[in-house]
Amino acid sequence: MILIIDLCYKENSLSYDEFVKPIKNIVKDNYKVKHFTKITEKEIKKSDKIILCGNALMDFEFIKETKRFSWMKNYSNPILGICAGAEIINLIFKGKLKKNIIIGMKKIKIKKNKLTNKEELEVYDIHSYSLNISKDFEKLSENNEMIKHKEKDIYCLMFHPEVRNEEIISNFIK
Amino acid sequence: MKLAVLFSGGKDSCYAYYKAMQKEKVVCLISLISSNKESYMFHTPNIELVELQSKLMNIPLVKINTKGKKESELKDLEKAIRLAVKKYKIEGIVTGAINSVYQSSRIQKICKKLNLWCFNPLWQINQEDYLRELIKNKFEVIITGVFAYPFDKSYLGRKIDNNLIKELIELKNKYQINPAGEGGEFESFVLNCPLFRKRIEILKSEKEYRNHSGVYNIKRAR
Repeated sequence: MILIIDLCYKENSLSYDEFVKPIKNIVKDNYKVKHFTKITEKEIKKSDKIILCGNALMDFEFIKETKRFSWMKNYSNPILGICAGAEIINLIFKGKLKKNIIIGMKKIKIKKNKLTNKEELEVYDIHSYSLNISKDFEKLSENNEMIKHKEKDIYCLMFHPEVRNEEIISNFIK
Repeated sequence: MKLAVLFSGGKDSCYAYYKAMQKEKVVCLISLISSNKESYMFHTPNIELVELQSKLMNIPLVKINTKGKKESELKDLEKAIRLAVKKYKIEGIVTGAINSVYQSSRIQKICKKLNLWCFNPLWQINQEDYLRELIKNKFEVIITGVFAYPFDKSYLGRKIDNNLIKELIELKNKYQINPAGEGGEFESFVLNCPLFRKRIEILKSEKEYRNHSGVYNIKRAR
C-alpha cells in the first residue's frame, strides 16, 4: 500500500483537489490518503512506500508540527517528498530551509536516477523556500531541486512532478 | 477564510466558485473586462454578462476594465485584487485554472506579492471527468467562442451535453485539443447552475464566424 500524506492546512481543505488529488490520480490504486495530523503508527508500518504531497504557497501549518514526522528517521521503505514534503524531510534530517520564492516553469539539469532517465527536465516550481541540504543527502540536480538520501530511497523534489512530469511519480511507485 | 473568485462567466471559474464555497467563504467575484479579444489572460466573449450572473448568485462583483495588453492586464488584475482586499477583506483568491502554468503562475505571483492565498480547485483535473461532473452537478453551459481548427460555426451556442462531450473526446484523440478548451480552443458561458436563483434566458444572440474563429454574442439576456 502507498500512503499518500496530505500536508495541507487542514483535513479535507480547499487545497486538497489541487495538491493531493492529482497524486491520487497518478498512483491510481493500492493507496491510502491521510492528513498529516491523522496518520497512525500502524498505517506507517503497513505502507510499502510513502508520498508526501505539496501544498499552497501560503501554507506553513505543517512546519509548526515537525514532531509528527519523526517516524521518518526509522522508516526503511522509499519516501517521495514533493515541495512541502521535501521541506519537511530535509528538516527532519537536520537540513535547513532558506527563503527563496520561485514560481513558474524552468529547465533544470539532472543526474539520471531511479525516478528519471532524462538529463534535463522542464519543471513547475511554486515554493517559498529552497533547501540547505542535510549532510545525509546528495544533490541530483542544480539548486537542490531534486535530492536523495545517501543510503535510503528517500527523494525530495522541490518542483511539482504531477505537473508535466508525471512519470517521476509512476517510476517511484513501480 | 474569506475568498474572492476570479470570475469570467465561463464554466471553469463558475465551477471553481461552486467547489470553493463548499469549503471556505466566498465573499465576492472579481472580473476583468478586457477590450482585447485576444487577451492572454482573460476570457472575453459576453464578459459584460458577469454582472447578471453575479446578481443571480447574490454575490458582489468587483469589476475592472482592461485594455488587455500582455503585461498591463496583469497590473489591472492586481489593481482589481487590491480593490477586493480593501472592500471585502479577502484573504485569498480562487481561480478556475486547469492546466495553464502561464495563467496560474502569474496569478500565484500576484497573490504572493499581496500576501494572499491562492486556490486552484480544478488544477490537473481529468478534463473528460470534469465535463461529465459539470453535467452531473446541473451546470448548463454553452459554447460562446471557438478559436481553433476543427471547430466550425455549428459549435457556437451549443450546449455542453453528453453528445458534445463525446465529440470533444473524439476531437482530442484526432487533433490533440484540450476537451475542456483550456488551451483557448473554445470559451463557454454558464446559463444555469445550482448557485443561480434562476436560469438565464437568451433573448437575442448573434454568431460571427470566419477562419475557424468565431463568437456567439449574447445581445440581450435576462
